Amino acid sequence: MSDDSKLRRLVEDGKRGETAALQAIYDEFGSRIFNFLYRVVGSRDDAEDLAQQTFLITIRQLGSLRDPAQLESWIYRIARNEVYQRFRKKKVASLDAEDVSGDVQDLVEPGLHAQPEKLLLNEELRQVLQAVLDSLPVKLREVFVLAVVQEMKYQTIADIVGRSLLSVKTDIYRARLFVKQELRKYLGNGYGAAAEAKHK
Amino acid sequence: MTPHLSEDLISQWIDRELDSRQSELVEEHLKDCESCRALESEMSEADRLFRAMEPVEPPPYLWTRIAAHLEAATREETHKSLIPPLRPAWLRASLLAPAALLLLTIVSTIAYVGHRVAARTQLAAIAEIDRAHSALLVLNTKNYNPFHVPTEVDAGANPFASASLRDEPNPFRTSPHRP
Repeated sequence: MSDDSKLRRLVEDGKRGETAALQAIYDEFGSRIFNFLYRVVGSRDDAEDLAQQTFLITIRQLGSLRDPAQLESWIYRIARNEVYQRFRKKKVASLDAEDVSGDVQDLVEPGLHAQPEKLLLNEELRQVLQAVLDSLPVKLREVFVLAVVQEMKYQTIADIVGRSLLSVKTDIYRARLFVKQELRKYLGNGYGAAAEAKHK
Repeated sequence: MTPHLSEDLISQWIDRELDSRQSELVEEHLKDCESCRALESEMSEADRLFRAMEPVEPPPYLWTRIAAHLEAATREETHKSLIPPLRPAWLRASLLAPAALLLLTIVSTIAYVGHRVAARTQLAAIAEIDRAHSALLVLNTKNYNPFHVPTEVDAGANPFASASLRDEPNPFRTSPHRP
């Protein structure tokens, strides 16, 4: 059975309320959705709450999904809406793309700047990367996570965030520039300052 | 040599979003341009770092929590379906309006019929009085004598008049006659 027909069957069974099908849908997308939420909100507890809410809404509204092939994008859209609602409630982040909240210096320990090669893939680097993500405006952060961390195609991202393909391309590029500059602060000149100087 | 690649173009090339012709052009340029290659390398390195972050696994109890919420919601819906729900206001109004109209029709009909019966009875009574009055007028006109003076004899014309009864013994009287 192909993935597409398997997905269709899961959705049809899920619409009839079959618990096994609903759990299979969760098993299929739960981890990716949870990771997306965690990278965007930066908190495990918040990601748990949002993932739970996302799948409750998904299951309750499954009957309104016309094309089962769109299930993944649809769940991501629900998750993204939940993120925005959470941010609106908490007022912890500006939704304005122009509001680049700059420096993450105070979020990490000062010793991180030295010897970047030793930081790779350790807990401190993970904190730096998450801090860089957190410092991105939500509008840029969500497309960056989808494109870079989750390696989604631009068109799929445009469907999820409800913006034009051109807008998504621009936002990803802007997010990359911002991330590059922030990483340079923590990983030092060796990370690429010389390269940019040459490029100009 | 061609001008440097834009960062936007490099970004799309990294994400494999360019068509084959654009990709070839970028690749050709990167071969010859150390500056663009360094920029591409820096951007790719950032991507690599983010992709190297270990994925966080959702807690194992998350589905259990979701399933528990769903089960609770199902139980609540079943409970609601067993108890007849209160009808919404618009539905109550829509049922009440015809009932009120029916009641109003019945009351109006009874009032109208009652009024018609009373009116007919009243008219019949008035007609009867008129008829009796006319008959009396005819009788009185025939016997009317403007010069007649009532006398004692006249009283005797009426066997029930007290004058004629005065001298007759009363057959029903039990006590003796007074002189």
